[in-house]
Amino acid sequence: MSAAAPVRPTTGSAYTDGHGIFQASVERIEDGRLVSDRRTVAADVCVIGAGAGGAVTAKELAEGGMRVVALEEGPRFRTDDYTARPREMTTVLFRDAGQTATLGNVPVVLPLGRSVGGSTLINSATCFRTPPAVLEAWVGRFGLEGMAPAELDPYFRRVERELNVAQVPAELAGRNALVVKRGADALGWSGDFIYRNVRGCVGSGICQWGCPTSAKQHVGLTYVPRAWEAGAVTYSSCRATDIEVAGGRARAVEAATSGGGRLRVECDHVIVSCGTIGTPLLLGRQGLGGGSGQLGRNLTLHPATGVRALFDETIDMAVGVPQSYFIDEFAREGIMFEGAAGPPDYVAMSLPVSGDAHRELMARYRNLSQFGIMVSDHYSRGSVRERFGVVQIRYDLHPRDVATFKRGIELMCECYFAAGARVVYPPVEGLDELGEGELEPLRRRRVRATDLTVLAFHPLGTARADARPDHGVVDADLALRGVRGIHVADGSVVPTSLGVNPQITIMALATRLAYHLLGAAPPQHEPHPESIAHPRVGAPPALNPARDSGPRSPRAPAMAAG
Amino acid sequence: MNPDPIAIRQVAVKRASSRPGTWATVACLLIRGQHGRFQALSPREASIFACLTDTVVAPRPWLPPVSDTDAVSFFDRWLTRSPAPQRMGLRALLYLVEVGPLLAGFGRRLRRLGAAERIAFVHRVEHARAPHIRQLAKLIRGMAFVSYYGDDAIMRGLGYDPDRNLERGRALRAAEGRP
Repeated sequence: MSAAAPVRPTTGSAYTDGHGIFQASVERIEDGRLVSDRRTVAADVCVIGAGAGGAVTAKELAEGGMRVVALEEGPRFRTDDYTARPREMTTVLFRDAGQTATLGNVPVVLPLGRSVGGSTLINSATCFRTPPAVLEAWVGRFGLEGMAPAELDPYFRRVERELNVAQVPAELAGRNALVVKRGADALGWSGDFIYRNVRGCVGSGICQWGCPTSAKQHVGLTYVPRAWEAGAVTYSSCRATDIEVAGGRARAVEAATSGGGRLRVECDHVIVSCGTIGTPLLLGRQGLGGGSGQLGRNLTLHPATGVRALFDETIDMAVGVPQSYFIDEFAREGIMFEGAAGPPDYVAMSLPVSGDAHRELMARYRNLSQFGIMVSDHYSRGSVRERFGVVQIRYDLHPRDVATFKRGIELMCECYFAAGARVVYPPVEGLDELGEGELEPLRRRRVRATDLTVLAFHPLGTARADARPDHGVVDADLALRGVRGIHVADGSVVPTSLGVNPQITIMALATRLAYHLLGAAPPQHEPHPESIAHPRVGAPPALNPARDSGPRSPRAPAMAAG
Repeated sequence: MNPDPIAIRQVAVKRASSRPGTWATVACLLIRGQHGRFQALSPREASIFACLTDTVVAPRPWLPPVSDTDAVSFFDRWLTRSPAPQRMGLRALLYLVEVGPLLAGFGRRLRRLGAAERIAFVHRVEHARAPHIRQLAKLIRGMAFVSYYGDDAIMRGLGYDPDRNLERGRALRAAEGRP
């Protein structure tokens, strides 16, 4: 810790005080639904996408003095647009009305955002830094110099300050978290209350469907207004269609507005931040980034499922922060447990029974608990491509990751029983419920991918960074190979499964990219957090030693030779 | 003179109830006109979805019948906002659900089955040996659950009041100058 950097509080009122949320003096946003003519604008940088990667890059570059135009395919939502009704908001805030799913050996529902704020608008606001073991693996295995923990530390600190990352206090965590904590404590397992990007949270219980108090500090409420303040302009409902390249360099971006108009942004730099699904599709349509053969490949998702349990005591999952506690005791095995509470419609959808049994369970909704299991998919892989105009997301769950799921489900059931649950409901086909202590049927059960119900929230890796040109779509500075002036800043550059929620990783990498483009030194002056989570996540295994265990740095031999 | 929709509904309920093996609420839904015209669903598709929802939710005795909720009109809105391929796929899936009992040897279409036969059919497809059938069953069943339990009155009955949540948010934002 540098002596000069101050300390930023992360507990108590740092979480609960809602005063002082930044509001831009001017909102520089054009609604593409109202743009029906043809326009041409000039900028230094065109940022495509206004989510975790794009909004951060746009703000940092604008504050660094660049003229920035940001394009966002989705609309802008204000807090007044939220209805506090998860069912309704799913159809409005989520891409494809919440119906994005993968094809493969088990379908995986993949909720994604599509708005100013991107998926940060619909996530659970969970904040973890990239685990140090993962960063060290990136440096060692992919040659990603400059991404070691100490080197990324100032960028993490900057992001955490901008988002006001603070820890959920126990009184707002909700009883869903507290009963699981009780079970984990009884078993001696490691866990803690989650750090989140909020300011003035009161535990409304519906973070993923639009925070009604504006407490969740998604990038649409933080980075985007800051970017406006610094002069950036956002075009919402405006979909980038072409990146114009001339003389080996990006020159302009063409976009279609929802109002039937066209927008041309003439610029020197393009930042592609369309997300892990959108970025390879946009680049692929333009014939860009395909030199390594990795574009659209290496998709990881952090597949997840949930265990439910029935208690005698009142849980009331609609009260409190839905994802407020995590258990990292088994994180080195690739298993993270995180809260997954929610209102009745959300819970009804996920119960594994129907008919009278479902009705009876829902009648006891206030006694139900639900907790999520997230698996680091070190072995499963997927891809994104477009065929005949249809986007295909392919993902196959590897048997080793299925085995990790099975272990995670067993452990979560054990935790629930330790917490006093009467019945648990494992998400395994043919095992609708287990009575107290009845884990043997689950342990004996051979579980296949098709026996699971899987969701995923963290797509990563489809334009992965790698210092070796034939292994990565972008280099260690996130520059797209094969053309000058294009960089990628979103989850697609993340080369491995993280083991933790990825938003802070994506934002820190985007901040680092902006500083690199500005030629600025890392922000060492940023305050150190009073405390921060240190989950016990291990390094991702090397899948293919021939491909993934190159020299520590490809530049090192050259320097030695010189 | 326009016919009285309430009177028509009462007649429909009476007639449908008197026919064994016919699902009464379906007729109500088709005739009552409470939700007006659907945008994505045909009346038949709406009826199939309502019947499926009635089957998987089994709304008795403390839950209102499907026709007294906005489950079907919500599902219609959901489809309207869905991409075309998904919308077409889900509509096709509804027809598959309707003829599924015929294919499974129940002898009649879903809406012609009694309640016990319908739930027996649903249980059979939920636990089908073919994983793709199980996954499709999970998909459409989940949509039925979320459509039904997302009704305001039901959520309030289960302890979640969205309007109270919104009101608290508005008050906080006004008091603290939040955006």
